Amino acid sequence: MTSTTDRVHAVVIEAIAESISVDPATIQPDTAFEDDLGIDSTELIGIIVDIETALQVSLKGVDYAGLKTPADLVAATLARLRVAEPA
Amino acid sequence: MTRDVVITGIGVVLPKTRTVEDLWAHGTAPGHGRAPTVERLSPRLHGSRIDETVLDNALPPRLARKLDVFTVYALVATQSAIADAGLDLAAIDRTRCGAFVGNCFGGWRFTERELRHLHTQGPRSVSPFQATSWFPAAPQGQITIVHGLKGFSKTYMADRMSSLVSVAAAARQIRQGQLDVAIAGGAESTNTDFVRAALEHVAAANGEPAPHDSGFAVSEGAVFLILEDAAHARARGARVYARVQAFAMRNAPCGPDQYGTDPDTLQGTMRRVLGNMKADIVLPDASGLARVDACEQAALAAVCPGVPTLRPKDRYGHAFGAEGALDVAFASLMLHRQRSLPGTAPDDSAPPFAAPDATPATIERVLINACAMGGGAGSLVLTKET
Repeated sequence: MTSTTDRVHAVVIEAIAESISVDPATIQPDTAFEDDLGIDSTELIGIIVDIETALQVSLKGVDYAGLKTPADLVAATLARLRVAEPA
Repeated sequence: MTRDVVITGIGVVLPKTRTVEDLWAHGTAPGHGRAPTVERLSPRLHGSRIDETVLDNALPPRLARKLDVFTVYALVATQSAIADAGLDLAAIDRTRCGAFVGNCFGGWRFTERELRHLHTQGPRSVSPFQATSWFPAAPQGQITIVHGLKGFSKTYMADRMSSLVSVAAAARQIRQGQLDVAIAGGAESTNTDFVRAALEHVAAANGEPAPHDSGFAVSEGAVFLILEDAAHARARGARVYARVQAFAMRNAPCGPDQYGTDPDTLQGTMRRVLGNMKADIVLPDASGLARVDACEQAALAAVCPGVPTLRPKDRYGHAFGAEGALDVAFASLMLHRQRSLPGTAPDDSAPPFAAPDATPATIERVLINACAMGGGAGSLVLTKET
């Protein structure tokens, strides 16, 4: 993984853990938001805004309903960062 | 067939008050060391406030961050009421148990903070929980979710009458056989700039004089009761505080920010609930607004002459959406313990409702009054369980 991927992954896991008050170590990339963590759509919006703030990135227009796991959220965030800052 | 409705549990969260015994201690011994403090909050407003830090760990943090404090108060008071009633929710039919909540203002603590975020940091900084935390039915939703209640439930907004109406509505559902058990009461948070400004307007619009002379006082918190079908309570061996006897409500329209000043309205509701019976004690609305209280005193002089009129609410100030349920709690305790709370001290600067000449030998019947802006008036009678 690149360092950007590592950082995004860490921010995503931290935002989720903080939002639902759990130990970050219990959250894996393929942990299901709804079935494993009971995260509802309103909590997901809060998590997305926390990620936007931490990484200074906009996730407006992402298909939020399609975000089912932390890996989905990392991928969506990385896609936006790559658009914003082409290598 | 109609059924008898009894009160089997009381839960409170008020300034310096977390238990029934705290409530009784503050009611019976005003001014003792741990009593709530009624202080100046703004020019025309006195009141007492809850120290929210004592509730920091009362709920799981994942839940608490989604809620305004008025819903936190409601959930904590509800939990206390269920425990006080010795009610095992897993052992009852929860399709026949509902939640009935009175509230006036909604969640302005949460909203003020998020409005500040909106104007200083932009729309993306507003909590997505703003909508669900603010609305007055939030406590009803959280109570039913947390406790898995599936029975008919409702939230009532009727200004100072709100939780007298919610308790009466719950009793009606049980009486008519729609529910066996109800969690009924009210919740309010008044410790916000917006609500204080609104209440200042109310005081001025209702003719309060120079600020230092105003008797208008507000409080906050939540009070919830467990109401049960009497047979349901008997079958599980529950302790019964009191019986919910009758409720009546009327409206004589006046200005939307005005309280009615025609004694006929309240006289009508008091006569309706008392019939030809006599109250042993009255817990008046006692708004602290001089001309509104003069109206209530005239109504009381006509319908309940010489009946002791007690204002335990003065220990805190008026809790608006939670006040009706608070008076129901005080009345329930007096009926169950067969002890009257003390009257108002002679040096009290609040309006002179009739002080008790003597404590009634037995307390069979307590009348509770409440009024609402726009001309509403309501009366509820609780009786001693026989």
